[in-house]
Amino acid sequence: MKMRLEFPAKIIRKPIVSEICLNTGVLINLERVNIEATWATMIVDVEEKIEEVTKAFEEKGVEVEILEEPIKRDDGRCVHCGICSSICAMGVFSFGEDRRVEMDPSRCIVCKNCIKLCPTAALEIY
Amino acid sequence: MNKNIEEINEKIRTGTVRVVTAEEMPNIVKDVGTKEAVKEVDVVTTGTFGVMCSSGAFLNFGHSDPPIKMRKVFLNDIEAYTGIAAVDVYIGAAQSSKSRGMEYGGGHVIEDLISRREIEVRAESYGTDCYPLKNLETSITIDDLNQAVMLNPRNGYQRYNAATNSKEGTIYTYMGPLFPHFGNVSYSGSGLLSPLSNDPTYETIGMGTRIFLGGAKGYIIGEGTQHDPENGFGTLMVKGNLKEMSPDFIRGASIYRYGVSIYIGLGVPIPILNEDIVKSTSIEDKEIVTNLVDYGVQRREKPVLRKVTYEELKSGCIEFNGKKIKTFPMSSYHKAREVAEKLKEWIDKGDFELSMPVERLPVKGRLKNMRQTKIKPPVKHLMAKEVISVDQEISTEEAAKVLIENEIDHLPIVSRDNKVVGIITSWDISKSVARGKFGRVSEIMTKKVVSVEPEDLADVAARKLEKYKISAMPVINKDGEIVGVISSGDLSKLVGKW
Repeated sequence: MKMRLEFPAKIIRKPIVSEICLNTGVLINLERVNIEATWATMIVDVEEKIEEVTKAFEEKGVEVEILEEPIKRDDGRCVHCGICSSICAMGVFSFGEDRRVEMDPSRCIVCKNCIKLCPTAALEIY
Repeated sequence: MNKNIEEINEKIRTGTVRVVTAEEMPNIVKDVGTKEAVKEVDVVTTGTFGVMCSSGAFLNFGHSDPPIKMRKVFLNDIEAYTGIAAVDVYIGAAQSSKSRGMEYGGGHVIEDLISRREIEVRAESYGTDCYPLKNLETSITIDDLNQAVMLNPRNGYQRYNAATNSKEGTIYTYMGPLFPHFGNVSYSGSGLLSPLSNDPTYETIGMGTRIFLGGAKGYIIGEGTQHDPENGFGTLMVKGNLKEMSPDFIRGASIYRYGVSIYIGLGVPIPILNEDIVKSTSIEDKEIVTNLVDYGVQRREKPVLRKVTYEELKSGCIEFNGKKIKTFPMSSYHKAREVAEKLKEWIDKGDFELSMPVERLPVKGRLKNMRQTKIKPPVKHLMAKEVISVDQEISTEEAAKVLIENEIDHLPIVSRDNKVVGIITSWDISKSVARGKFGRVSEIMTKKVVSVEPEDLADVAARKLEKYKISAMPVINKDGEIVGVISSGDLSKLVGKW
């Protein structure tokens, strides 16, 4: 399950992710990390004990948002050209039955490269 | 056995017609042979769904009170062409927005019209005795218009070049993003479903052929612009009633860092009149060959790297120089199939009859290039040929001296074999002085050097300086050796002269 974490300024310098890994025994995969002077956000992937990990982060003051579907498509706008597949390094997009572009949102790491590339503005990131 | 259009139309009317798509045809011919196929199949439907910039629509608004001779017209802030009668305009698909740039353009206006959304209209004029009104603001939907006619000067390319990029740095083209060093290949066109590939001698296709255009009936009205039959790049000029079209088959498009355009669904029915037409409609992707072209070369004549079939392109990966390169399509095969299926359905139901062209498309002729009376020279005639460069082992102070003594701002750093490994500018030196850093030049130089080739034209060099926000760059020949330096100063000498 992918999560977006937001760290407030006062806890940016603390090794929170490592602490939670050790305390819960859960592996946390960092997919995108953005650390600035006054804020930090991360997209992480956690495969087990989702509730426990979420709680642990929240207790430390981290805001947690579960990304059930990080990327969404407006099927009314998508023309199934497949340009998105050119830029996505994670393999979210592939051609399926009837040459439709199939999506596997669970692979998305929210890099947003496909968003600007989609000619019909059919993709959206949450 | 030969058939004619009237016999086929009679079958359509009586519900006995046999229609198949161009995708089904190869197997039918394999199963029963060409002779039997003439008897069995009456119509083959084709389809394509791609970005077609050379598209647009004529609109007539009816007269306002008091009347206006619209001289400048904006539809949702997209300018339409008004050099025709008072309330006629042509909205072009590739026209971008003043306020929204590449995000929204003429193609989107056309899609919004078809979707029956309100369109803001703004018009200006100079006022005449018969057309006194000078300014007008209103909003309309397509149903308020007298006529809304899609008229596309060039659609339905027989096939199209596949694109790749040999150079450094990603380029953003109408063929999508092309990654450096042959990082990917893009292609367009539906291959075996492509209308003109199924009748490459235009035996049944020409002026007056009734077609599927944007979800409605339309017509071919002649050869398209840049029709290039002798090279196998035929095109179509088409028209259709915008009021009857469907947003399922017309979609506004923004091609990232290139511009706005429109996706058009177009399908041509091909009547099976004889064995020759059976053969041409049984074409397969492996028989449709196109050129793999290097879009990294920013000249009209781009190198053709190899021939490639649509079968290879559609497989998702092609081989080049012993390497596998990923391919991606710009057009939708899924939608092309939908077009061919829809057209088939119409004919099956008796809603669509075939027409024989009153004039065939020309089979002779080649694309001409523009006659240019003034061409700006290549970089090699403008650059500073006496290259002052230094070795990467020298110190920042020594480099500063070289810059001052030679009154230059850019200093290429070269290796022993005359290959450029970096560049420093007087600005880089100022920065290191400000920071109190005085090491070797290799520590402060820019290692990713933007460069041009001696044969590149002045405008290509100017575009590069602008794109990378730099004021000069080395000129490097095919062997990777530095042969000059070109600066914005060298290029600005052209102003007024050419």
